[in-house]
Parts: sequence; structure tokens; C-alpha cells
Amino acid sequence: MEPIMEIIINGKAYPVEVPGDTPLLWFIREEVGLFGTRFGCGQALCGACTIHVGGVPRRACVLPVRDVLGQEVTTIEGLSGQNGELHPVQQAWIEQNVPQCGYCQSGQIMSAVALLKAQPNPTDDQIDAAMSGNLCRCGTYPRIRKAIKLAAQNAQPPKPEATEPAATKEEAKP
Amino acid sequence: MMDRRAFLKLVAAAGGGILLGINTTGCTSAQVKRMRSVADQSGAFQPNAYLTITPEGRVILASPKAEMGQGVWTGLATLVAEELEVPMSAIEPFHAPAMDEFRTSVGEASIDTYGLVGMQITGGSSSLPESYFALRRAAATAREMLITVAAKRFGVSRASCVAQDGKVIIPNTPQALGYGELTKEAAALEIVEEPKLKARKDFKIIGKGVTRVDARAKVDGTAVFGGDVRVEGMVTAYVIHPPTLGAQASKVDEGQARQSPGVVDIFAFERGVAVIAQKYWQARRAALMLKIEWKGGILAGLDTDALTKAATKRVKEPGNTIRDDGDVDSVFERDDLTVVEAVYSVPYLAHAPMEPQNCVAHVKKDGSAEIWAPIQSPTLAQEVASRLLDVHRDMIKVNTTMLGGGFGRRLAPDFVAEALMLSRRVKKPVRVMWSREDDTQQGYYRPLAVNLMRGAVDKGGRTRALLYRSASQPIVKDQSPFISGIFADWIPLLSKRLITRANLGFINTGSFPDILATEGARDTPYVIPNVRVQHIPIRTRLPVAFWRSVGHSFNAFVMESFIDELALAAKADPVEYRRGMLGDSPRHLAVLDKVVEISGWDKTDPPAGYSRGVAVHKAFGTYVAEVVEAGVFDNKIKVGRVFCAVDCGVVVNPDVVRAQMESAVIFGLSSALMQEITLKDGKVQQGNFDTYPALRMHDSPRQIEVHLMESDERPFGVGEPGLPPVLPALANAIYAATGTRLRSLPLQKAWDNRSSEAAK
Repeated sequence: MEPIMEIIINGKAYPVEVPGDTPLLWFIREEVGLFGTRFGCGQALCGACTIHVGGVPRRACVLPVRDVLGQEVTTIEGLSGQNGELHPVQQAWIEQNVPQCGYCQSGQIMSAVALLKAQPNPTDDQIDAAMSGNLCRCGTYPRIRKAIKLAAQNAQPPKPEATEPAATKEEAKP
Repeated sequence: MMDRRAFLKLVAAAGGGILLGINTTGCTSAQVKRMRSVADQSGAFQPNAYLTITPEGRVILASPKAEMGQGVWTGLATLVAEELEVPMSAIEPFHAPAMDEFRTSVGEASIDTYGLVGMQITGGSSSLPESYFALRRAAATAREMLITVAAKRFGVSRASCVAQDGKVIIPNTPQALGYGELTKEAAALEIVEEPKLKARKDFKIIGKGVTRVDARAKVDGTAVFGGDVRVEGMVTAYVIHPPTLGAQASKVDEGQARQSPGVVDIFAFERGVAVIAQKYWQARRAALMLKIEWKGGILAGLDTDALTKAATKRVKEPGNTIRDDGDVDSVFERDDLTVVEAVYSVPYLAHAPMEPQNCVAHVKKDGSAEIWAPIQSPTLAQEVASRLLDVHRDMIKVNTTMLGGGFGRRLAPDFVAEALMLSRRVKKPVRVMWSREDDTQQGYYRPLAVNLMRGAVDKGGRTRALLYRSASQPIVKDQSPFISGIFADWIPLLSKRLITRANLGFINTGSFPDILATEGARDTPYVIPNVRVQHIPIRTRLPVAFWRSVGHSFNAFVMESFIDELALAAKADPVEYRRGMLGDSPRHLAVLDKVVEISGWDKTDPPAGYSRGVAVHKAFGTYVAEVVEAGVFDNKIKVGRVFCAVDCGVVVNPDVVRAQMESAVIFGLSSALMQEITLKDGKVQQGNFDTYPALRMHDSPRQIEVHLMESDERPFGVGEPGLPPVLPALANAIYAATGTRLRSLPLQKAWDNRSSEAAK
């Protein structure tokens, strides 16, 4: 069986022509040329390199490409829509003026998107647990927390009018 | 149609030595010449170094200040948008190249900032005070000239026209001309020298909420940091730095490294052993195969434990006197006063920005060079390059990339020198990307300091005398003998500039380092009749530098902790005790009173297990008072809520001020709780974020409440002032919660070792 020597990144297949021990982070940055995924520590301690593999958040700096062959990877660049529309989490980030230096924010956003997929209405403790792997030296944590809650709120289907019958709830899908 | 690159070429050409003088909005013939030339080439209107308005109506803002997260681009854009009458969204900031025009002028430097005169530099929370009038004038100049052109075109008086939303209009008529239609003619006018600035009551944008101008690029991954720069023909270097600073490789066993894919070269040089490859991981993979023997080093087995012990002993003897009011000695000898004495100690600290140091450097055949790097001072980078390559600084082109955090570390251009050395050697553009360990271990730390405090309180509870004596390593000196002359010339220049504008008589070249070491202490606002401030310089060859809030970063901890100790001796509430001595400082009093109000100080109960600590401190012209709620649970210090009242004068971007307070609080708490750089046998003990940790989401305060004081005073900066008070407020809260006074940082370590700390 021929091993699949490609990785699918943001929906596009890229051939892997580097040694298998090359971390996905450097494949993304130097082979594919996507720079939004950042290098902060190289030891999976800071989360700046967070991407999704099959929708699951992973630290790309310690993930060798040989372990991701044939899989679907999403980077920060893959969050936007076809016409460059921002993901709701990115929009919430802007609304709350979250970023300062911005270097950690790709990783923060990727972790937050995964959190909200798993927990559409996360509690403070769930936010802590999901986000504590992502360091921010500029101290944007309080705003990240607010932005996650805002994104969660924005994703809720609009509440029906109090006087309308229950059946209308179905029609009011977002 | 002029694109960004063409514009940059023009700006760079104009800035390279042609322009003399330091007046950024005036009318030197060189500025007029440049304005006409830019209009000829592209139709754009460039009345000064800051602003270019294109025929498409884009407003391109050359920022001499480095955007490192503190929001300076947003601040400058706000000032421009206000006076130029354009929406924020029309403004495109970029990092200006090194230009003589951007070397701060005497008139615009803040009296409370230091060392910034004569340099294009970002630091000391000085960007806003320097820019508040300069940027407004630059924008108002452009506005006036555009109105003049439009009025002529409309055939009406200037007074009939109004600038609004990027257009000049005649109100109540459909007559409107977009700025882009006016640029060519505006560039033919005389530059307006004294434009009219808006009255505060007419502000539409200053003081209001705006979205950060860099928010979008920082959430969609497009912001360009140093590691994202690509230069044709570039190779990548992985540098193995020696285990102790300044050591040289005596033996390099390459093994199979040279055969490793992509490797171009391997060699030892002044700063370690370099592996040059096409790509980063290729270089790093090969680097791991090397076996290196090192010899020498400049730190002579430096041991910070031993250094702290020696400093603790030394600080008991007198030092260089910087301030001596009254007669502290005779007061301390009185037997009717309570004398309190305490020794505080703080460690070396690394900055640990999220983006490790990196630089792309290209030394060219003609001896000129170009660099791309996250730097806080193009001037310093140029100086270092110029000295290293032995060329005039006009031969050095500096491109500042977006900074992934600065905190003062990006002032020291050691990583720039390193990249230049490598490029010169391999004769290609070279990118150097440091590892996290490199970033933690290469020095330029916040200095270690040991402080002796002695105070005397009378029976009425009044403080009669205060002695502050600090032993610390002065920041400004020749720090890098293994890169000869890196800072030597720079120091006298700095001191000279300070002499001419400082109004404090004791400043001279010799004392300048003491000013940074004792700032926040020697200028205490507390009215105490007898005050002595002394400094003892510690000399090591470990490079030290500016760390967010510099001397204030430890002097507030020392002063505001000790004031609480004096309050205890006076049997007084910490707030009332301070109020009693702040009679000469209404702005200190005001923020103190405000933070008492918003925290509920003694009116409400903190959450169970938590107690409150307070501190008030002025740094870089901005006054901040903080209350921290903290407690110790299962021997772990936990921080609850933090309250902050800030008076920075006129507020330009309220949300940026809030964000900077949040930022400084969390950055300060990281250092307060868990950070230290220690050395044993000349080797730094810390490496990655496991051994040099920082606060994470789960141990940060969930609530940081910030109150901005209303003010008409001239604005001062906010990047640093929120940091100093958080450390003593935390230490004071821990005392209130536990009865244990912690006098050394980091506090969790001090708590863990507290059987040897004096309690009470």
C-alpha cells in the first residue's frame, strides 16, 4: 500500500517532500508558506502553534509530518469564509479589541474555536481548562474570556417572541 | 497610483541624510523639496515625515513608534483621524524607516521620560506624550492645505469650507472634493507652520472607543512578524549559543551534520556555533548532531545566590547619596520613635515576549546592509550595524516588523548584530530565529536588586525619617565586551542629552545609572521631613537592560510594601496612612481615593479567604493606584480581583488605556508570583516556559476593573505605569490575609521558604 504522502491544509492537498520528522509547524510555514501559525517555544508549552487536525486542536511544533499524512489540517487562514468573511470567533475578537501584540492570537483563536465546537456555552472553568495551554504575555486573558462568551452568545439562535407559539421556534433557525 | 513599496522607497530616499533639523511639521526647504518630488512622482501629498495622502484618498501614516501591542499605532491614527477629519479606517500605519526627522526633539520629549532625546525609539511610555501635539499638528497642517486647494477650486473663501470625512465640503451644498482629488495641488503650496488645532470640546474620536487599527491583521494571521519575512536568496541560521555568555567553541565535532538535508555551512563565530541551511528545521536538525566543547566566558562563574547574599551584606553599609533631606541619622538615633528596618530583594528577570528574538540581515557587496527585525529603536539598530560593519549609518536600511511583544527587550540589538555577523560571513541574506531557550538565556535582564529600608515612626503615627538604600546593577554601561563597542558610544550621548534638558542638578554622566536604579523611590511623593536615598552599584558582566517600567518595576514593590510596614508600626490603616503623607500630591491622592471607592476597600468584604492590599505609584507621568485581592490556599498564592485607578491626563483611547492596565497587571503578576532568572557557575538556570513560567488563563485574575480619571492635564503614556503598583499591592494583600510579610520575589518562592522570612 502506497502511503499517502500529502497533508490536506485548509482543504488543499500538499505533497510532503520533507523528512518525516519535520514538525508540522515548519511544514506549514516553510513548505506551504502559511505564516499565521507561529513559533513560540518549540516544546508545546505556549500554544502559539495551535492548529486543528481533524478539528481537534494540536500543537504543530511537536507534531511530525509523518503523523499527519493524509489528514485534514486547519490553520488560522482556513477559518475565514470563501470571500474572506471572518469566523464569528475572529469577529468577537475584534469587537472586544482582544489582540495586543497579536503573536499568540492565532493559537488562541484556534483553541477557542475548538472549545466552542465542543462546548457552545462554556463556563469560566471550561474556558480556563481549554485555554490555559495558550500563553499570552500581553495579558489579553480577560478579553479572550469575554470574546469567547460573546462568540457563544452570537452563535445562539435568536430567541422567539414571548407571545408566539412554540412551533415558531423551528422557523427561527439561524 | 503609488503602491506601498514605491512609497517606502521615496520615504527612505528622502530620509537618508537629506533632511536636517528636528522639526517634523515645519517648513525646511528639504521638506518642501521632498513634498514636491513625491507629488511629481506619484501625485501623492506628503507635507511631513508622518503623512502621505494618495490620489486614491489613502492616508499612509509613517509611525516612528514600534507597535508591540501597546496600541501606539491606534493612538497615532486617532490623533491623525481627529485633526485630518478622516475615518480611522482610511488610515494605514506602517513602521517608518530610520529617519533623522524622527529622532525625538527636545521640545516634544516629556520631562518625565529619559534617554529618548535624539533617538528614534519606543520606550519609557513616551510615545503618546511625544506625539500628542506633533501628530495633531502634522495632520492639521495637511488639513489646512487641502482646504486651501479646495476653496480655490470652489472659488470661495477658506472660511466657507469644512473638512469632513476625508473630503472638503461647502456645508449645505452638494459641493465636495475628496482629499485624493486635491493632493497634487496641495503639494504645490507652502507648508503651513502653525495650523489650528481642535479644541477638546470638539473631539469626535479622541477619548472615544475605537477598534484597534491592527486588530484585523492580528486575528486573521496576516500580521507580518520577523519570522514571516522572505528575502530572495535568504538562508536560515540556527545558532547554538554557549552555555555561559561569551564562551567560545574550542572544538566542534560535526558528525553527520554537514550531510544533513539542506545544510549550507557550519562554523564557530563570536556568538556561538552557526548552522546555516535553506530552512529552519534543516538547520535545527543538523545542529542537534553537533558535539561542541566550550571554553572561557565573561561571567566568571556568576552565582546569583552568592551575589544576593553579598548584596544583602553590602547594603547595610552606606552607598552613593542621591538625596539627603534633613538628617535621617539623628532621627534614627532617637529613642522615642519606633524604627522599622527591612531588606527586600528582587531577582534578575527575562522579558519572555511570545515572539523569540529574530532578525533577517543582508550585508551587501558594497558594504551597505538591510535588516528586518522586531526592534524598538531603528536608531540603536543602525548604530550597532554601523559600528559592526564600519560604515556610515546612512548605509544601513532598517525595516521594523510587527513586534510580538517588546517590554524593553527589543531595545538591545544583540540579535541584530548576530544576524549581521552571519550575513557578512556567508555573503547572503540570513535569518536568525532564536529558540525560546535562547530568548530566556541571552541576558539583557531586569537587574537584580537588594534594598535596605529603614523608617522611623513617632507616637502620633507620623513618619519622621526614611532611608532607602539600593544595591543594583546599573542598566546603562558597556555591557557586551564580546561584541566590542556595542553600547560604549551611546552612553555619553544619552547622558549629554539628559544634562541639557533635565532640571535636576545632580544629574551627571556618573550618576545617570543611579537615576534609573532609584526611580520611583528617590522621587517619592510622601511628605517625610528626613529622607535619604542611596545607591550602591553592583558590577557584573551579565548584560542588563530596560524591563517594563525599569527601576519602578522593583522600587514600587520596595516602597509600597515598606509603607505598609510603617503603617503597621503606626497602627494605622494602610490607606489612611498614605493619605496622611500625600498632602503635596493631589493626583496621587485622587487615584488612591478612587481605587478605594471602586474596590470597596473597607466597606465591603472580599471573597472568603481573600484580603485586600493597596499601592499607589506614579511612573512616566502617569498615576496608578491598585487594590489586589489575594489569599493563600493550600500554600498556593491565589489572586482574585484587581482594581485599578489611572490618571494619565487626557485620554486618547480609553480602551487602549484599559487594555494596557490589564496587560501590565498580568505581566507584573507573572513576575511577582513565579519568575526569576538565576545563575549558577555562570549558567542561566532557566530555559523554556516550564522553567521560566508566566501567568496563564486559569491563574490570572478573572476580573481587572479599571477606572480612568477625568483629566485636562497633558497626556502621558500607559504602557508601563500599571505594573509597578501590582507587586506591592499583592504582597500587602498576602500580609493582610496571612500575617506573613514577604520581602523577596518571586512571592510563591518566598512563601514556600517563609520559615526563614521574618513574619510580622
